[in-house]
Amino acid sequence: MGTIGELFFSWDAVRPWLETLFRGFWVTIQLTFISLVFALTGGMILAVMRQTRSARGGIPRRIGAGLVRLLAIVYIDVFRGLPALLVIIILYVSLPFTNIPVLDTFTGFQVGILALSLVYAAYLAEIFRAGIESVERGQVEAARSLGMSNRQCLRKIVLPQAVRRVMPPLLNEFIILSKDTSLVGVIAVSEVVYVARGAQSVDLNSSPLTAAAVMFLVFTLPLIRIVDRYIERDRRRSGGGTVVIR
Amino acid sequence: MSNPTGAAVRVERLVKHFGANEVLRGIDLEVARGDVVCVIGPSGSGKSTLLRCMNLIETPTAGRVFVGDDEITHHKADTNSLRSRMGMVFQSFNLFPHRTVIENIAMAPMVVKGLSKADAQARGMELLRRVGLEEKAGASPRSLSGGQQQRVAIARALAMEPEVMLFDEATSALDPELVGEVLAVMRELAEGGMTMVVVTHEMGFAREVCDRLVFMDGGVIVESGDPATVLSNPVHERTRRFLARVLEPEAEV
Ligand SMILES: Nc1ncnc2c1ncn2[C@@H]1O[C@H](COP(=O)(O)OP(=O)(O)O)[C@@H](O)[C@H]1O
Ligand SMILES: [Mg+2]
Repeated sequence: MGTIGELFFSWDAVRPWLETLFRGFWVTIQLTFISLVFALTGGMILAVMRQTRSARGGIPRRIGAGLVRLLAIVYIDVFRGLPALLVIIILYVSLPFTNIPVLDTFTGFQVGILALSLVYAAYLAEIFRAGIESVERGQVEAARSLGMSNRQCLRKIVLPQAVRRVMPPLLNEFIILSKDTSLVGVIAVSEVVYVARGAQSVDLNSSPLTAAAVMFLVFTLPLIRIVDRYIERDRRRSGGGTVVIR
Repeated sequence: MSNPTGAAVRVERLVKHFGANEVLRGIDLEVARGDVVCVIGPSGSGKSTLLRCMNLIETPTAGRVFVGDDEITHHKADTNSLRSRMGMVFQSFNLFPHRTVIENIAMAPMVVKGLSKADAQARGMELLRRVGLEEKAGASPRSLSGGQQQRVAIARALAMEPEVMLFDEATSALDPELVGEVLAVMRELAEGGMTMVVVTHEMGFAREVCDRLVFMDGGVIVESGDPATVLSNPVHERTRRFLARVLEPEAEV
């Protein structure tokens, strides 16, 4: 018992690493929020692309709409089907040799954000799509009959209702994203898991890993409570249920 | 492109197929400015589809629709602006649940016509007063009764100052005791000179308010004329059978 306490909960083993660990957690937070912003934007664009229809208009417009939709579907399916870790590694080892301006000089941190954004855009797109599809047809018909264009209807009527309904799964995905940032450690980005592992390997004491775990929980547990409260509230309201996928 | 008859709306040889299902088989309908035309007919006869094709919620398979002098079905038509010249009221109200009552009414004038929020809401309040719901301006649509929701939906459509109002069974989803308040608003609108096309099962309303009654069955207009005549003296056997079925329950009460 004494050894277990010593191994996992030794304050003395954590103290020298504390600043490093906090700096690592700050990197984790940055990876999470910056990726989230890109993933939300990309996911929304993909979801709208996937909904593109052209009932009226000539053959070229219909083919155009079909291509836009196909592009979105292929993107979403591919990135949902790949492990995030593989995407991170592929980008990290390949980008320097691509001669693509800017991208070929990306740091590990930037590659991590790029990879997580690409992958999570696909997940969030599916959530947004479920939300968009849950908005009743009558809403669109009412908006269009008032003279709103397709775009106006999407922005003012469909998306606000869609986003509200998918808040719980969206928050859920946010929690998973915050944890997936630890994958970026594989390309030597100093996020909290990576630095905690380093600390452990120096002193052969696991307490820095425990410290990393506590930092994560301080961040994720409140979010988990919020998701639960959302779901509870929607259950009470019964009416328009929330959409939960994944 | 032109519409020499000067009608408020005109439908010409309108055809609509859903796959192999021929729902409208060549409808001709002309509504003069200020007239109220009621459309009756059995369920599935294509009444909703007719209204929905008129403002292009559904794309007609063939035929033409004019609003005033402009053809909304023309391939170069500015569909959105022509659509806004016709107001539509749905059986299921379709209010925007994420907005308050006054925002529901003010939204389209702001988004489509570019009115300021203050202007749009001031005019919205006037319309709310007209439908007797000014005290509900800040309420959520969810908190209203069906009849109140439908009156808001009518005000919302009127906010775009349409030349024609289309009603698709506006009272069919309502509890019986709430039907009257909605019909009263519609009646007032008709008396104020609004051009209206009203799909309805309310034979009393049809008899008293309509200038012309149209009976549809199987995707065609079977019979059309003065409401009193059509209701009490229908020419066609199909009309007679339908009316017998619809009017009988009333007679028994
Ligand atoms: N979007 C649609 N897709 C396929 N069939 C439809 C659609 N809308 C209506 N229909 C069909 O068209 C016919 C007429 O429907 P509708 O116009 O709603 O009749 P009514 O309003 O007179 O009851 C019905 O057979 C219905 O199944
Ligand atoms: Mg109908």
